[in-house]
This record gives sequence, structure tokens and C-alpha cells, in this order.
Amino acid sequence: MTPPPIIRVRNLHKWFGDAHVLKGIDLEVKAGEKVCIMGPSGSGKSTLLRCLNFLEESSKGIVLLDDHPVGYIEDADGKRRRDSEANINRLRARMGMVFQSFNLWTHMTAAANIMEAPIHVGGLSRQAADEKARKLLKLVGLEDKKDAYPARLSGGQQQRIAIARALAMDPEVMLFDEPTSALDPELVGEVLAVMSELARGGMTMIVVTHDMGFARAVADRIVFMDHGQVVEEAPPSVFFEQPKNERTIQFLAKISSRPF
Amino acid sequence: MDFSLSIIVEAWPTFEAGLITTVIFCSVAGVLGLVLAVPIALAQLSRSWSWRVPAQVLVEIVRDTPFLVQVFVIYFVFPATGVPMSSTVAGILALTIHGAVYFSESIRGAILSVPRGQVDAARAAGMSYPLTLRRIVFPQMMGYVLPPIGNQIVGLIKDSAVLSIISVPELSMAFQNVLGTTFAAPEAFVAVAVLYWLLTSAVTLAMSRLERLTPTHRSTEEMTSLLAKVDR
Repeated sequence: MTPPPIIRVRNLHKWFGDAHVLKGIDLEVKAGEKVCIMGPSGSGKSTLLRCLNFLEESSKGIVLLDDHPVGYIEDADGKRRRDSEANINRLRARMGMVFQSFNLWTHMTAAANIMEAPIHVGGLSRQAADEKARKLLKLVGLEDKKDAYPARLSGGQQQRIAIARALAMDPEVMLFDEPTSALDPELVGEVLAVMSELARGGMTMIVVTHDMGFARAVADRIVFMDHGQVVEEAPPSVFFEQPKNERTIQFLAKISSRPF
Repeated sequence: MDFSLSIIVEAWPTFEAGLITTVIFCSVAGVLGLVLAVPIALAQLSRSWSWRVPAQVLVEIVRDTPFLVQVFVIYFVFPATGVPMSSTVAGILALTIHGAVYFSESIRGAILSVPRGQVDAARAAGMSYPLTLRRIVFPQMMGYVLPPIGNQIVGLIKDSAVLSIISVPELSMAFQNVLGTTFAAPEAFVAVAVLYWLLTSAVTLAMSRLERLTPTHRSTEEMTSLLAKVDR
């Protein structure tokens, strides 16, 4: 028996003014599955990811986390209404998010960044949160940076702390928005190593990435987007070796011929 | 030219009383203004127009009319509608509203200066908007908000001179009284100018001390852009 999908996206649309950036996305992600979303810039990958936890409000369609609609609730005749803020916050806390530019809170130490949501959203005691931060810092290999402020950390270290922070609420799904795109090349490896470790632990992961090596090694499935649509969906072996769609073939040719 | 310091010494009790009144009026209006400025700024940033529009109307009215006219409206129009109004209440009210509006613009700007990603990270972690403001936005905006607020407090002190027009016995009023009784124009002019200067310098000094106390755990890029803003 296959596990039920934990994330379901149905006919999702997004307009920014006149720009139609998501044109009816359908997507299902099963618990424990690792899905990489790839595609040229402007294809709507990041917008789709941000719609999953309602950082971006979709214009039409629905996102379900474990059968709970996120942000907008659809009634019987298909009309959408906004969910209560409290419900939206509760659902968001069940998804961890990692950003391209890390977005660590600059006025807090690494440990304080990790402890913030568990204490103020999860209601954890300071002591329990401290214990949790310690464990997570160990997981990402930065126990010695507990008291460092983000400005004192390298990009790779900041992103590993950001991953630890996103894990602090024990999320059911982790969302990664181009987690290595802002990093110097020599720092990409340490972040991907933490992500691979996470994948081995069985975490459900949705990763927007340009990193073919990571996608090939870790993904169960590649979702290829272009012009706001899902163009091709396939396991990495099929996606990289026998792509079917013309636009996928062009995209792969472009990124694999990139000089290093 | 005769310039006699003894005239200033003799008139000092009058100046002192005026100075104290100015300090009290500006302190009360400054504190009340700051307290009111936060909700005005948040209302202006609200997604709902029923909050945004009234706040914008208030800000536009206060910004687009002279302070003198605002003082007159509060002092003369309210009593005409049956609301009793003393010069003290009218003075503090006018100064408070004036201060609140200008402070709110600085606070709004400072809130917007906090990078979007900082708020995104908080909301993604399940933090509510009020919690995000309290824990993430307000602590980070201090560096952006203190320099303009300092300027506006100085502006508030200078604007308080207008209140002499409705007979608030503040420093400018005291100056006019000294002028009327001694006819010693140069001495009185110098004295009142120096007293205002001392008062505003004290505020400027206190604000720069306060700025140095705010956390500076910012990246160098942030500090550079921050300094660029202060320079302007």
C-alpha cells in the first residue's frame, strides 16, 4: 500500500497583476517522498513553493496539507474563503522552510534563532528549547556556533543554521527554496550534505533547485516546470536520461553544457 | 552697543518658568505621540482599507496644514462645538497629534526597512503577525527609527514655540514677556536662542547615546545602507 499524499495541490493559479505565473498546477507529494522542482528562472517554481505554506496567496485552486486546506478553504460550490489566521499559523508551523538567502534573524544568536519558534509558537520551556537547539546544532555540525550571530557566520554555516531552525518545530514537510543558489561554490557541499542526511532520515522534502547532482542522488521524483506549468514529472533516472518533453530536453542541454 | 548680562540674570525666573513649561509640554506630547504613532503606522500598513484609510486621512491632514492652523482649530473650533478647551489642553493635544503623525511616518518607514525575508522566515515558522512584529520587526527597526525620531523630537521642541499664540506660558511666551518689560531686545533674543539650543542639543546627545545602545549585530551591507539613509 502506498502512503497517502501529505501535500496535495489542485488546479493552483497565481496572477501577479496581469502576469499569470502559475497556470493550474496539480501536484501530490507522499509522506517521506523527496521531490525536486526544477525549471528555468521565471517558471514559477519558487512561487509554487511559497504558495504551499501560504507565504504567497494563490489566486485560484487549493493546497492541502494532510487534507487540511492551507490558507483558502473551498466550499461546496467552489467558492474560496480565507481561513482564520490562527489556523493558517498552525498549518505553517507543520512545514519547515529554508530560503535562498537564509533569512536568519540578524539580532539573534544561532541558538536563539532555533529556539524562537519552539518557545513562542510551540510553547516549549526555555530549557527544553535549549536542549532541542543543542541537538539540532549537532545534527548540522555547528555545535560550536551556538552563540554566534549570523553576521559572523559563512553563508554555508548560516544555511545550516537555517535548516536547523526550520526543523525546530518538528515539521512534517520541509520546503527548500533554492537553498544553495546564494552560496559560494565551495560552501554548497556542506549544505547538500545536511540535506542528504535529512533525506536519509525519511523527511518529506520539496526542493526547488538547480543542482542536478543533488536531484539525481536524492530525489524520488523530479517535477519540471516551465511558464507556470508542470511540463514533466519523472524519477531522476528517467528525467535525466530519457526526458520526453521538448522543453525539458532544451533545459537539460543548457544546464549540462554550463562551463565550470 | 550695550549688552548687559545682568538683564538676563534679573529676568531669569521668567525664562526658567518658560523653559520648564516647554520641557513639560514637549515631554508629555513626545511620549503620548510616540505611543499613538505605533498604531497609526500599523494602521497605514494594514491590508484592510478600513484601518488604512482613516490613518492616511489623519496623516495627510496633519502633514499638509501648518501647525499654527492646527493649534487654532483645536483651541477655537472645539469650544465652538461645546467642548471646553483650555490653552494647556489644546497645546498638549495639538503637539501630541502633530508629533504622533510625524513619528508614525518614521516608524512606518523603519518597519518597511526590515528586510522582507526576516518577516517571511517568521511567518513560515508559524509566528502570528503581532508576534512577528514584537519579536522580529520591532527589535530590528530600532537602528532605522532612532535617527529620524531624534530629528522629530527636536522639531517638536521648536514647534512648541507656536503655542505662545494661545498663551501657553512656554519659553517663547516668557521671551516675549521679558521683551515687553525690559525693552532689552538683544539680551532677550540671545537668551531665548541659547536656551532652545541647549534643550535641543541635550535631546540630540541623548538620542545618539541611545543609538549606540541598540544592537548592531547587522551585516556590513546592512550597516552601509543604514548609514547612507542617515546621511540623507
